[in-house]
Amino acid sequence: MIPLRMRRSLGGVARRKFLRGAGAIAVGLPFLEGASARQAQAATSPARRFICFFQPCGIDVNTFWPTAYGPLTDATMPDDRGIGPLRAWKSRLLIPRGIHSVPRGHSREGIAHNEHSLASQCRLTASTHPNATKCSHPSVDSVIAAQKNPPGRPPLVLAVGRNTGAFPGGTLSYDESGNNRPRISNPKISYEKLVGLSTGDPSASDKILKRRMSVLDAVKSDFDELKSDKALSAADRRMLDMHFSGIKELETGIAATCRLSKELTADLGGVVPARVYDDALFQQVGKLQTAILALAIGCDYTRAALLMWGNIANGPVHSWLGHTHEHHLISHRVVSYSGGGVLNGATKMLNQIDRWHAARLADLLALLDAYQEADGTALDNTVVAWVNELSEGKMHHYRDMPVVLAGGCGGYFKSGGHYIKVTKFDDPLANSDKARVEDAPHNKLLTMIANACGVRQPNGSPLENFGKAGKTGLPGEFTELKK
Amino acid sequence: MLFVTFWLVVLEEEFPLRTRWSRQTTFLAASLVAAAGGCSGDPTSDANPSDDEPSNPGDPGPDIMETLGPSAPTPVGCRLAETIAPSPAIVRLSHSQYRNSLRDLFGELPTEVERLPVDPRPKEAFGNEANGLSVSDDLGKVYRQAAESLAGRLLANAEKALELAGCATPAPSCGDTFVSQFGRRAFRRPLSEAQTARYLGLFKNGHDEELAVSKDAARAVAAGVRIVVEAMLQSPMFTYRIERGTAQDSSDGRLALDGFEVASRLSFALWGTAPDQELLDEARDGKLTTLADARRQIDRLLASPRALDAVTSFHDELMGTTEFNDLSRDVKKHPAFAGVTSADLEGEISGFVTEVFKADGDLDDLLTARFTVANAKLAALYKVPAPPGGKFARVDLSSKPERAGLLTQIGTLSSRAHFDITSPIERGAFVLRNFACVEFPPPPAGAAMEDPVFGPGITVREAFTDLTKGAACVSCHRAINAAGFAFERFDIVGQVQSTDAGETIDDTGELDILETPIPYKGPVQLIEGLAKAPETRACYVRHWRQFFAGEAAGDVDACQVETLAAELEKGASIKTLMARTLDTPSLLVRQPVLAEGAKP
Repeated sequence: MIPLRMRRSLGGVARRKFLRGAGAIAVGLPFLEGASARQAQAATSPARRFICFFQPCGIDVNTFWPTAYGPLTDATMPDDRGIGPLRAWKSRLLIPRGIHSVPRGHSREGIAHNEHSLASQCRLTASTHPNATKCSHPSVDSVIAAQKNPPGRPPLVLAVGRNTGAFPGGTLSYDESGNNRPRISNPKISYEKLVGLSTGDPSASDKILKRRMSVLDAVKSDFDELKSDKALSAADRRMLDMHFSGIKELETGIAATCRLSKELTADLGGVVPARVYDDALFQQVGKLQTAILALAIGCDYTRAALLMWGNIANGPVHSWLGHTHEHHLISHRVVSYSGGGVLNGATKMLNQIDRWHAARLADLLALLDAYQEADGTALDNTVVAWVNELSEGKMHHYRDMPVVLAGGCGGYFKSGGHYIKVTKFDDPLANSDKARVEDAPHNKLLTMIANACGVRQPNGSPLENFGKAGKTGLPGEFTELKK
Repeated sequence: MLFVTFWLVVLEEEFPLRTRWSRQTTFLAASLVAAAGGCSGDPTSDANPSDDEPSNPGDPGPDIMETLGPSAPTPVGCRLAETIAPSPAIVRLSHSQYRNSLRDLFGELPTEVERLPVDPRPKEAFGNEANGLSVSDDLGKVYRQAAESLAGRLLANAEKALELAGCATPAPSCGDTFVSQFGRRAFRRPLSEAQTARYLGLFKNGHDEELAVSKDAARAVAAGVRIVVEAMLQSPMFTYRIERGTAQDSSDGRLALDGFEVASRLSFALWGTAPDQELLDEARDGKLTTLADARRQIDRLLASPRALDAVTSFHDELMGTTEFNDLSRDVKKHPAFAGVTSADLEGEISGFVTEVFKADGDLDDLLTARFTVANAKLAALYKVPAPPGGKFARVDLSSKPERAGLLTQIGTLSSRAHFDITSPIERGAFVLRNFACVEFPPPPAGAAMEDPVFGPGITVREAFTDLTKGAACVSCHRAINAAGFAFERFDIVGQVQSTDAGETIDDTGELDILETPIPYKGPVQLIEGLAKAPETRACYVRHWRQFFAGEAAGDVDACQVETLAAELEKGASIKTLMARTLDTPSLLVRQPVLAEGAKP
């Protein structure tokens, strides 16, 4: 027997602070909290997600932004601004101004003749590669999916409209090996991927729902039977209640909202695969892809997704806006690629296109906001980033990129609705000052997005410097954009 | 007695205002009462249970221990009746228990289990500690997805479904055998009547619906099996270990466990999984209610290679092998570490522990053995010839005077270092915490957590000594540094080094916070001192109790610890210690958690 008593007298205050010996271990560990402390363990980190909402071909830089810095208000977001249609969501938005794209230096400062291609490479990777179909760093959606999705589940890359093939790959997503991730343009395929069942048989999902409900009934009876046992303490019962309420919401919740509505299911049935690229179906396909994207996020199919309207250097003819020229031509203010002169009213058309995309973003935000989660809605727990390949499309500017963030990703980003300048220059678009492209590189935003979604380095600490932008990238985050 | 009193005094003196401590003080005061009567002597000193002096350090004697069962009229010795730690009636399966149970039921694991959310774990607790285990929405979702995935595969594989159902010819009656047999394995006890009816109903629905559609009898059975499996795997009967127990006549409130509950305790403890057929059959036959029965099963389980899982997982947790992942070390300066992975580092620990365990080794061997188990990469770091084929094999280290046991292994040392300098603080704190159960309070509020300052000729030891010399730091760092500086003999990747910053390594010192001070010249002398220290034995025992019982460290019964530590001192092997840790009257009973608001 070991007499565990102190053999020596205490050696002064310093040594007495030690909690020594075997028995001392009790100190600092919960004991009296005991079983009731188990309730407190319920909170695990909720899902945080990233959606990239992509618009091609630049914006009308003169009418895109809110009219004044500071809190977003109805007054600073009038109808005719590019972001005007998002007014109802103003308290959920964060609009940073002055971010520039990195890496840079591909040709002239500020602009690049191949910036369309470079944009697709670097927008979500902050890196580039001599081979235009590859990247030297995975995109942020891939990095999030690799850490936060079920093993082997890539980010969801949905697209609306055709891929012209003018730029290889054509999506902003690059996998771990740096290969461009293909897009899913057919909403039928998106939905099948998502629900894992054929949409040709709408009764299949009803069958799943029915089976889940009977399983849930049996499980509930087991819970009730166990809870009625006198051997259980009140704390045990509370723990079972917590467990059951979680799975109940989960199962019924999934059944109710992880399927498309009847109306959209019918629309989906009407989609002809060969025609999904037609401009005439652009709006319909877009609506379906948006709904499917919201399902994918709301039902936690993926923690990272892209919705690409059009593709690199190419949008449709927005005929529903009265346009007769395709988006890319409009962005260059020309009537054709083979000469023919200036396209009159192009700036106004760009503004219309910006507003149309803003309205589509509002659609998505509404769908996400309908998913109630333990701590807010799916929108609250997501950061949706409306990005563009360019700012001013005509000259292929990659300074002063249009970025609109929505959702806040569980409070990681500043909340309440703000329009904030993140550069120290008054006119971020002016290209005379070389320093201006070393000021607010967009890789800092990617770092923030990854960290907001819980991406960590192998040692457990947050990322510090996303991408491989070399000297043009900067470590750290935009602290102005944090809460 | 003296011991506990001492801590009470210290706590009140040093931390009078902090709720955290005062709650603990309440606990200690309560256990003081129990300890006063029960745990000061030897279990055999039944005549004089309150004697402060150890009367007979001889063999405790299993017969006497056995009389301490629920029916013993006058508890003696350890007085387990009073000191047994309360535990809840339901404890969620730990993730490894859950995975192992699925693996045993189906022979495969669904990929969904890779998504099990990490459980919060109190420091110093093992992964199965009851307090850390609850079912969040995220976890409930993984349970559902895994259940749907495994069950779905059965629908696609009717042959396997029939096999699970124990049915040679597909027929609706297959449900009867399936529900009772599979149910008994999944729930680790026979189904209640209501459960049987419930799951038979579920089976019938699944079966009949499928038969109506496909007219395929085998597929219909598979559909029945599928829906039952999907539900059972989400049932609390599967996802929790349940110990109802039966009230006894005694006033102590202890509940006697039935054979199935004991079978689960033994199996989860020694194999990390649900009970096998033999344990369940023994339970069904009314066995496993005495310690003699249990002892037979303990011996059987321990003799099986499956017990190695428990042995290695225990030591993995003890050594903190999860910290071995993705170590970023300056491999330009230490090229031999360049290709070393966490698998290499963990492989050494588990290989070494396995070797010691199989040879009936003991704690002393774990700490002081002059060999290890290494592959070619590790052998290079040890500067010994690579084992044949470069694969993991026993490697003799008797020519390496700096090496002894677990504490000088490569993973232990390299994981407790920074990118380019060693971390004597992490090394020292690890050794004291995990092997002597010394718990340090967090650094005081005003403590500046700064990086050490280096200059020309300043060694790591000097820099950290300087960094921690302040009055607020030195109270703890005196001991932490004393334990850590011995390991300055090893560089950031665990290789022996002779100089640091151009100075000869100083790996001498004195660790003076244990009962017997340990002056040392070099790490091996420190380790040998620790191996002899009663605190080390008590700590190791305590960890096994925690591991087996899922107890919080503070709940471990001090008397048990003393009894078992005494066995270790007499040379008990790890295997014997494991058996004896389980083989106590507390194996057969559960002390319920006090109702909230109730007074003890």
